[in-house]
Amino acid sequence: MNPLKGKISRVLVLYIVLFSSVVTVCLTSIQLYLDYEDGIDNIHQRINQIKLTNIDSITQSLWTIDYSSIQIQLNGITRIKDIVYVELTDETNKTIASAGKFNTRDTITEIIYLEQNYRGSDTAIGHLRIIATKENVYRSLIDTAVIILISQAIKTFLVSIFVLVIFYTLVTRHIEKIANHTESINLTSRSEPLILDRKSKLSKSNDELSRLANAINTMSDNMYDSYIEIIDKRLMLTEREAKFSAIFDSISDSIVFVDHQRRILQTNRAFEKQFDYKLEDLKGKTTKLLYANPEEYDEQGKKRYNQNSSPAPAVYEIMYRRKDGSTFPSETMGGAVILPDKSLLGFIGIIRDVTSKKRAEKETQLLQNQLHQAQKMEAIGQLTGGLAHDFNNILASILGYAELITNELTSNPDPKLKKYVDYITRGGERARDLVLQLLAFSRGAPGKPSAIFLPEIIDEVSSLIQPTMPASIQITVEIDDNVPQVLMDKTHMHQIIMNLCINARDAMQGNGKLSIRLRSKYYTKTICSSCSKPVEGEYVELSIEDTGSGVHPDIIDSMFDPFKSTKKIGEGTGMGLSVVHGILHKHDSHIIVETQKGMGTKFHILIPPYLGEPTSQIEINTDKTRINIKGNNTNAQVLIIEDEQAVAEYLHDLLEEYNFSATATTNSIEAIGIIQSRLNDFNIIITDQTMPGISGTDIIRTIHELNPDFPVILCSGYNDNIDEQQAIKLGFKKYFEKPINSQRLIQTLNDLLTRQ
Amino acid sequence: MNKIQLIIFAFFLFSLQCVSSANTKIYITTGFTSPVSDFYREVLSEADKRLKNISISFETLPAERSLVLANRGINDGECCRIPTLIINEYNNLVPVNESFFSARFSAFAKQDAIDIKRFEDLKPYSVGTVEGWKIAVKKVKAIKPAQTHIVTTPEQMFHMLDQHRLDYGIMGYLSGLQVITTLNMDNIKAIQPPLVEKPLFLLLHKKHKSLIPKFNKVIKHMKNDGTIDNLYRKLLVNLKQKHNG
Repeated sequence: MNPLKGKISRVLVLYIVLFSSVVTVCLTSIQLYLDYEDGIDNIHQRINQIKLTNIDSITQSLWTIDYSSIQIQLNGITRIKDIVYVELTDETNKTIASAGKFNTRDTITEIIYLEQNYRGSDTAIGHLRIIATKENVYRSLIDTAVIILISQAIKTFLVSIFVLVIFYTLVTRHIEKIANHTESINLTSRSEPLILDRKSKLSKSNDELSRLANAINTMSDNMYDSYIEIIDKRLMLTEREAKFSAIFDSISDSIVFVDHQRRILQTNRAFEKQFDYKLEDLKGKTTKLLYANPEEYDEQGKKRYNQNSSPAPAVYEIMYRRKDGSTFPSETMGGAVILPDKSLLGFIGIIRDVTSKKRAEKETQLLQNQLHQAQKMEAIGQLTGGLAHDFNNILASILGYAELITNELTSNPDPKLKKYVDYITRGGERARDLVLQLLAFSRGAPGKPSAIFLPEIIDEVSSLIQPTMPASIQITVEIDDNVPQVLMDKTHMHQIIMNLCINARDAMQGNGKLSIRLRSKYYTKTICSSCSKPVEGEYVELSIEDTGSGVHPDIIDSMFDPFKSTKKIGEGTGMGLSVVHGILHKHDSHIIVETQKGMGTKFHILIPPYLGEPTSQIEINTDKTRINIKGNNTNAQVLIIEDEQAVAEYLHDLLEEYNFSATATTNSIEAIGIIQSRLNDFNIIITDQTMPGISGTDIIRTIHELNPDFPVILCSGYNDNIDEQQAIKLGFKKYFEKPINSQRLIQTLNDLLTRQ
Repeated sequence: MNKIQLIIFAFFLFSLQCVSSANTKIYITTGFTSPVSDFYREVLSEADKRLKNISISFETLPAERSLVLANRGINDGECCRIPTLIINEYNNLVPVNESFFSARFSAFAKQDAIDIKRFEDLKPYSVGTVEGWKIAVKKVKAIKPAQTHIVTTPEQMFHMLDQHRLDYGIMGYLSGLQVITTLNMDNIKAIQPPLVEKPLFLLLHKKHKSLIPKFNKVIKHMKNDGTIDNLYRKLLVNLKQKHNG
């Protein structure tokens, strides 16, 4: 048993000693003070005793100037306890006698005035000074203090020991047991009850220790029950938190939760992935570092984080910045998080990266532009195609009859009439060329594509345009080696380069530099400037660059439209770029325009390289030399099916002039009847493609059903989706474009009749 | 100033004079004992009678106390002293020039046939004297005898002589004789001649300096008309004759 083992015991002893010491000191002080007062009183009593017993005698001795008696009396006084010095002075303060040792330290001085009644009044005759020392008082006090302190110390020690033992027996050892028992309480299992080792009488009493033990037992049981309950609830809470975290993190949009000062408190996984930040990096920081534009952060703060009101849920577009500095557009839905007690918990922001959406919108816009452009070009093409068809029919009549008149004038010359007919013929031919350009725009010019080397074409065109250029315009040509061939009509290629060079010349207004460059280049994600379709892949790039005024932004989108010209009236038809557009897109080629006002223009012609074997160009016979084939066709019966009355009569007259027996009909239904009833009466049938109710394709199908080898010639005004190759494929023996070259038609008829 | 005013003023001065004369009461004390003190009382009583407007009251005190009280002004005069001996210590006292009594200091002894003529002759002996007898105290202290006893009262000194605690006691001749008579110590004798004889003078406090001429005059007159001699013979000579036998 070690009562001092416990800290409480030591503290108890300490407090007992301290308290006892304080009490002892206080009581001792009081005792000493009382003793001091008593000692001082004793001194005063002795002085009073001196007054009572000695003063009269001394006064009498002094009155009688009995110095011996005075001295004896003073000596006697100094033998009284505590009296250390006595001095008698006369009325003039002259010392008459003294006894003892003069000392003023720790003394009490009493002065007694001596008076003698003389002649009825008290006469001062001197005074007696008595000095008493306090040394004895102090010595007595010290002795008293030492005795009290020692006795109190012994008493305190004994009481402390006694209290310790009692306290240990009654309290401390039980507290130790309670502490040990409490330390051994394990929440995971129900503890054994705490039973104190006490006498049975005490055990049964309901004192503090018993209540404490019972309380601990109850607490232990309650803790175990609570622990089980907490574990259950924690499991539920953990499960709920896990679900919430899973839901929170499974949301593909970034979520950030901030406090009322916009400091980040929580983010989800998508947020960390989106911004490339860890939550630990952001916690406590404001969302300002997420904003690509700090001003936007401040603006949002003013708008939505007003302290006087909670922001209503809203969706707004914000540009954010990732950790690596890259930015992305977002649609952010923000709102306040309000607790059930209406207090503001914070703000939540759901951030959706709309980069893809924006890109899709942009692409959609681009596609819409492309579609719009394509529709526009198609509409223009159809318009121009229709116009060409009608013009060709008209021109077929004009030029045809002009030719017949010319032929007539050969036998009956009339110079004036001949002059008029030539004007008609030249005007018709100019109109025909214009229609050809319209057709070249709308459907691509009919040509014979072949594998060509562009450097040769460039050399030829350069030499052709050089004379047309002012000396102040410098022409440079740069051609890379090993540029592949392209499949293109050579004449069309000439036309394209010529058109672009002439435009460049006109844009430079007589001064500048014209650069022609040829190279191979791989294009990605590029948009064709005329058709607005994406361009991607390896191309032969022919660039024609000028240092002119550039294309005005207002007309960039319509620069490839027909009849769009910035030149003065009469200086251009406005068909140059339209023809370029038509030709190129007929051959899966594209054109890229780079222009800036005042900084010149670059046209990049992109033509797919031709990787096959070199091909020979099919020469189109454009020889207008009249062929003399008259005389051998009197028995040849030719049926002409043409809805245009003028064209039908022209063809009829033309064939009659060349001794063919021609039958013309402008009614296609009637023509079908003729075919079905007396096909064998005819040697050759010439039909138009587009007619009311029935087409040339229907005609040949009907004919071939009766006689698959029957020769049929198709004449087209280019308003149909049919070209020469398709016509041959359908079984037509020959294909003619309006206006018809009369010589070639007669030659073809002769050839076909010869084969029969 | 009219007559009435003059009369009033004269009456005022007269009243002052009367009051002044009536209030001049002189307290004179002496340290001598009987019969000398009796002689002084009679002389001063006669002077009181002769001095107009001065009333003299006389009493005996211890010798030193008599001087102290006179010097402090509590009393008005002291009778009688040798001025040169006390004037330094009691400087408020002024002597009256006319002396009417000479003191003789004698050695008293129990044994006989000792030849003592001067104070220096006392040096080998035990000598005592009485406090207040200035010249005696001074001389005894000066010669530093074998033993010195300065006692408070003459009776003490004579008792010591009687019991042989002193060889010689020094005090006034007449006063000593009176004590011997009173104590009935006939075995003690005054040795002749006296050791010293000095004229004594009445001392007044200096506040009564203006009265000194009057006292001079009246003492001189009393000496001249034989009053003092008569009183001396009446009060002192008989005592001397008795002891001289």
